[in-house]
Amino acid sequence: MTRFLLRRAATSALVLLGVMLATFLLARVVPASPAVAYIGPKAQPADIARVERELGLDQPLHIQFWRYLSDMLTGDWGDSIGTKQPVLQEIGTRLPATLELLIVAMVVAVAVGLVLGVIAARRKGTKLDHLIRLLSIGGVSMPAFWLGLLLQVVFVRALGLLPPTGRLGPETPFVSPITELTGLYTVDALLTGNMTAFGDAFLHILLPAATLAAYPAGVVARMTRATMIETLSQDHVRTARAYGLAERTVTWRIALRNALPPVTTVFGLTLAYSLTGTFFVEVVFNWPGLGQFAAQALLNVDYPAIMGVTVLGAVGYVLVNLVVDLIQARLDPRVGLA
Amino acid sequence: MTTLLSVEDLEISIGNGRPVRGVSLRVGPGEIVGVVGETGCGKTLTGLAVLGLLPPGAHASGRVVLGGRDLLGQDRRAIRGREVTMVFQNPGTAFDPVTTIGGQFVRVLRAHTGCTRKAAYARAAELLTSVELPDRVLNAYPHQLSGGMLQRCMIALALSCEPSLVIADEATTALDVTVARQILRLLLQLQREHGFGVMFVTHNLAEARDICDRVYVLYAGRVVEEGTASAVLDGPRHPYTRALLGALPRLDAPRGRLDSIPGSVTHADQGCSFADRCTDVRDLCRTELPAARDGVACHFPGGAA
Amino acid sequence: MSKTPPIATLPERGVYRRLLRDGPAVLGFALVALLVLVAAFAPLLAPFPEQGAGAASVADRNLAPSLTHWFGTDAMGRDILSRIVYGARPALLVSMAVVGLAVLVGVPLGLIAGFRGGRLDEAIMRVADMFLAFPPLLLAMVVVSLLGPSLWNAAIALVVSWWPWYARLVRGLALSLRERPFVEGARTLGLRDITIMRRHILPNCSSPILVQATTDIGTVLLAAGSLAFIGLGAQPPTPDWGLMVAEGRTYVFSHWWMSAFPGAAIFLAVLGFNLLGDALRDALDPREVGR
Repeated sequence: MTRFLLRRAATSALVLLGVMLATFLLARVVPASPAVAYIGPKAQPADIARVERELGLDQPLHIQFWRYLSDMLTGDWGDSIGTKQPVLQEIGTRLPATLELLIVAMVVAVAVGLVLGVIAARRKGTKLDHLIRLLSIGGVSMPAFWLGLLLQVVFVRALGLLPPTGRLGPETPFVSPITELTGLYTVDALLTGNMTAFGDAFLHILLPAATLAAYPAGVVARMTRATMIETLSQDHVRTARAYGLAERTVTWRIALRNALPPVTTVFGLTLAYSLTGTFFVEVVFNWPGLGQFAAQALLNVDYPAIMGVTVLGAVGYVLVNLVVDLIQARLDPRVGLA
Repeated sequence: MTTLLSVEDLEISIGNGRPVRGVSLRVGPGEIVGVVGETGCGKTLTGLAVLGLLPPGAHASGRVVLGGRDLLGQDRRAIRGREVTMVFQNPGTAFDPVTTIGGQFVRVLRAHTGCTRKAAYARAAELLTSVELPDRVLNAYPHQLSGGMLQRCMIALALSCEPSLVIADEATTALDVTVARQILRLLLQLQREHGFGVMFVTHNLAEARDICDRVYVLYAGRVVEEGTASAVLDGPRHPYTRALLGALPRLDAPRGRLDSIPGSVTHADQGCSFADRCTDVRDLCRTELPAARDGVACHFPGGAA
Repeated sequence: MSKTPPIATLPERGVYRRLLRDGPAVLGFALVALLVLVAAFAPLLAPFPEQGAGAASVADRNLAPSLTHWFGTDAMGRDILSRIVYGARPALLVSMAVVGLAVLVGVPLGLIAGFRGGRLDEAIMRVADMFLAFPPLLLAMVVVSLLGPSLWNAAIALVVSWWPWYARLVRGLALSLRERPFVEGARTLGLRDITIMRRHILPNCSSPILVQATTDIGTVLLAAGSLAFIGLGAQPPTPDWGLMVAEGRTYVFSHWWMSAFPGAAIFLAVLGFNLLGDALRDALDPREVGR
């Protein structure tokens, strides 16, 4: 286990180094000088030269990369051109909002996907199965930004059931302010017993989480259905039935348990996909998280912010893969940590 | 003689096929009854039909009477694993690969007895001792055990609720010859201790002769010969049984020749199903289905006069 | 030298029959066919062709769906149906070009890596891994941002981040095919590597590549639309569906049709390719038929 973690840490560090090199090269190879981005389109050649000198852009590439690396490692991720704030600080304040959205969405996606997949597999070939298959492939084909807008039109505008965008209603911070512990509003409100704020935060997160969950839920449902159909026909499931176990136990405790490892692999892939999915969902729901920040940075060619977000995204990706492998080893005793 | 299980005129159809066409057999309490025949003769399906474990799409008719009750069409969950248990052919795939052996015992024991987890573990350890396995097997996953060990576990599981009937479906087929012998001996010994009846499904005639009290020979979904093991296997009257025995390799026979039965199993619509492969076939065999007389379903039992 | 038949010898008629019996497959095929036809005959099908191409019509701004304008008009008075019909062109063109180029780059590299092995394999796959280390789409977004947002820069960015998937897929296939007897046989006969790859390895990879590519056209279409939506793709006045959703977003509570219909076009197009890809997989690999 320790050996596995050490080896994975080493390869992960290499992967991250590769990602940083790639981002760095991309940022340097593109036509426009980063200096122009700092000063604006009306930059004079003299100003550009001065800023380039200040930023160290006149140095050879390998020196620049070395400086970039050591800066990143010492926590100096530069200042965002857009907000003039340190990138690391921006990331820190926005990360909890994105994490909260991601966690809620993924819990919903896994729960819905597993249940639908199992039901479809049990009712293979029936109308219900066809309906679930269509639903799940629909979820996979759905543009998140469009689904988000539709949900807003229906639930906010037409039915008036849910509040519009953002994380909280306009009064909540004044009426019943949330004491920030984790930065996840729903969790913090619950922990401090602030039910008014919890209700508000909960209602606000429903639609963005549902939007973000559509794709992974569809993928999980499809994979669960396929694996469950295979598992349910295996010898050991027949053994379980032959020994008088209830059909409910056979389906949910034995077959589903056996179907989990492949489903976990696929879920890991979609979770990585959802990392960038937050960009679109946060933009549509005006969710003050990293995704929105990243989308803004990309639009404004905000180099330090882009590079910071990219590195963070790669770290998240590496972590997701690591966690998936660990879960995999836990779920399937035949899988070793190699 | 009392009857534990009686299967009467069992027919099984899957789609357009009719793999079992009227099988009747009987197992007395504490009796070991062999059901023999080659692949595809319907012997495994017959065993599965007793527990209602036929594959989806299969339909069974006839009667399956256990302790005076007709089971066919009934929910047999309360019987499975308790009154009637099954030992499967392939121990490597018959256990849940992601649960420890102990966990799987606990699951079954608690489903039937509702005992505590701790009591179930204690009982499981006891059962493993009875099949000569150490307690630590409880914590092992199936992939960490050999086929022979897994089959011992399966037998222990089969005995966990003191069943009256154990269906052993090709229980030794997937094992090495020496391991198969050990498993057979173990089964026999436990049978003497506990006195359960055994329906011993096999294609291995030598094994059947060694452990069975009576045997039924199945061909193309029908019983073609039945009787005590020694009567049937030492003095076969049906040409199929004779051919089967002739195909056994023998150490004392002259070298160089191995008999086989020409062709493969076909289901005739008319007449005797074995007619196409029978060396003594006559015109009557092709037109009329032979009825069972004296335990042999053949127009000309005992061979050509 | 005769050509080795692909391992999964296709009973052609069986494939078509299976495809036809499958309702979702028929739906998928119909959606894709519709998309292709609309793209091909856009000027003939659009009720207001010049508006579809981008001409504003100030008098008809913000009209709700009606018999004249089935899907309503946008803030510049353009008929949304016509815009959607014209939008089929860049959508289809970009996604097919991206997948085509990704296949063209990824497949040969994967073939060489898998078949030759050794250092070449190491080198190719390490480069591919570096691209795959980015979360999906993030690399594409960074590239567009740096190149400057436009439809074709988005396409380039998508090719850059897509080819490694094909390299990895084909490498895996080539690796297992390399050990097959018919390849050993061809080697024993002294055929050149390039011939073996072309005649014996590639034909046997074609089914998985075809299935992957079909699904990917949908995925790329969705990705390009997403990029356009946040401003990192097609720019006005291109009739791009994702861009149209973004343009209508400001008015979504008062003029829902501006975003709803173009988004539905993306959804249906992606759905079509996904259904078709699924159906192809089921039909080409009978073992995986999910029913």
